[in-house]
Amino acid sequence: MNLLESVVSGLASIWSHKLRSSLTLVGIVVGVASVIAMFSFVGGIVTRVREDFEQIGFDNTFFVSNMDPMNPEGRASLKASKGLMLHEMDILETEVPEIRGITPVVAHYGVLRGGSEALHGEVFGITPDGFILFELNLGPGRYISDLDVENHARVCVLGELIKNDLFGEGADAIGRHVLIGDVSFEVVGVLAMKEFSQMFGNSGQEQEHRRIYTPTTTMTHYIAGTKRIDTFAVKLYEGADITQAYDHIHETLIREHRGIEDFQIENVAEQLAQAEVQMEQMSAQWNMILGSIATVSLLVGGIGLLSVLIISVNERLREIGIRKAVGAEDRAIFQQFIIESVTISTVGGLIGVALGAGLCKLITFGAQAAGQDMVIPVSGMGVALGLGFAIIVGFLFGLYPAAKASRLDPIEAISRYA
Amino acid sequence: MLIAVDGLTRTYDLGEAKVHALRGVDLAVEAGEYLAIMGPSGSGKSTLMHILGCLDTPSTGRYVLGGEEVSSLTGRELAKVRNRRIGFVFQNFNLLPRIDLVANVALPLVYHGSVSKAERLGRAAKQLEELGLGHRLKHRPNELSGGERQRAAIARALINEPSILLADEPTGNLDSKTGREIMDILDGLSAAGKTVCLVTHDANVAEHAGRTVHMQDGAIAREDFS
Repeated sequence: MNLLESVVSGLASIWSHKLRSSLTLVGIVVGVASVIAMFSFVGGIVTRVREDFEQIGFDNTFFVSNMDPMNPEGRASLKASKGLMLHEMDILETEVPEIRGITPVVAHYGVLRGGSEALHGEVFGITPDGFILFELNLGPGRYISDLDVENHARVCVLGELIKNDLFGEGADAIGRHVLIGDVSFEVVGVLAMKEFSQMFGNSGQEQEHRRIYTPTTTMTHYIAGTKRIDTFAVKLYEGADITQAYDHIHETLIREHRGIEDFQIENVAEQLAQAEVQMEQMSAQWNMILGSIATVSLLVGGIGLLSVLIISVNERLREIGIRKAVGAEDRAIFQQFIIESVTISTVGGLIGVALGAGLCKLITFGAQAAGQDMVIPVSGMGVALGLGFAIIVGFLFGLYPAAKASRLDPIEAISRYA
Repeated sequence: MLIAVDGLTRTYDLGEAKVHALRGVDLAVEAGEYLAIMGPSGSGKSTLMHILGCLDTPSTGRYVLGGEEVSSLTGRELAKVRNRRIGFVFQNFNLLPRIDLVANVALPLVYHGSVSKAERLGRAAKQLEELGLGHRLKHRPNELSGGERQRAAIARALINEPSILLADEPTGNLDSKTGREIMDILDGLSAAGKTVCLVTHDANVAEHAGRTVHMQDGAIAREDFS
């Protein structure tokens, strides 16, 4: 009897005991489905988070910002240092070789007027590098230029949302004017929002697009009235030594600030990396928990399979005896029962795959119904592992009944029936 | 000499008691012979038949089938002998209930090895037609009469063209008219040159054979020739 015939005969045997077979299958189905659901779910979430991290895009980025010293001596020494100053940008750029781009940021919050609207909003003074650093995409118009910075030009680039708020959706804002406080700025460009993270929502981007961007120099000159800036956003070269860059920036600023540490350097990339490590650990824990659930249910399924096969062997003593009487070797009987066992468990595995895939679809559907554009793709690894385990379970738990059947004495097997 | 049996014993060990089913049987069967083994129940005739059919092995003694000593063969080799050289007909037919007649008759060919499925089913159908069951090929055993089932069982026994046909009480579960039909088939096979050996407790059945061996208490008591 060839393999195909044995499988067909195994399927026929499953079919002739529908209830019994389906009860056996439950354990295996649940086991395989949970393996697949688990791998897909955890994999989907990890992928999503990783994509989000990538979209945030602050790899190789430092943020240097003002910080009030905590101790009284430090506070007393504040008089000796004025904090981060605009001219320090050039110093950092020349003295720290790892720096690829740097932008001084001055933030201002106040009344903004444009068109016929007036509202409270945020203004960022930045430089051309800032648009690259913050990954702000341009819609119509142009970015702020180096010349604008040099000339303290009263020009601005609007976030897409604030442009809509002030001038209305679809309106052309280029060449029109915005009042920041009492100072009038000409709009030279409008940003375009990009497809953004589903998991973290659009909150980050929403903030970016509710802002007005002007040259830092214009901000310090007309609005802030001081050359103190809030933050240096620093982008390093690809592959730069992060620790060394940190030390260089720190050294330079400490010297400029006369030894007073009134600033802090944040490494966004490192924070993201830490978050990612935590994510991996969490997913490993999840994998372990769900993996043990799957193992237990596959084990239960295997034991169910074992008992069904033992019953089946006992019920089919006469059949086994007859087959042996007409010349079936022990091996052929063994093979028949092993194939039957593996066939049952594989059928269970396939149903489990379908169920697991359905579960993934259901989660995706549920998430989308809840407004989350989250997709849980069926994990190929999960399918392979689940099916593989099902087949192994079928084989292992089929060994004993198959061996038992194959060793039966033909005459005893035939006569025990009657 | 097709069968040579020498000092055959078979002892069943039932723990406390030992049952001596055969106590030294000597028997020789020529190719083409038509032999009946008779005896009351418990005389050991079925045990002898099972050993001749390689379904059981002797405790001591020699059994030579077609020049080969089968009493020393391994289980696997015995399966091969059962498959290719012996056709066995049981009292209660022993057909597989879940498959049709063609598949039942083709079963020995399944374990023969290199016979394609098409050839197996073709040969089985031909064998069934020769025994007058050409119209029952796709029927399952429980849809047939006892006589038809036994004819199918004979077809299965003949499918591998065995050198000997062994029948254990072939008419035991049949009414007398059907029993005669089965005996007609066995007579025909014998007339065609097949070696036939049957076990019965019915003298009328034994009469068909050319030679009758009478058994008593696990040994051959006497032999009749007709």
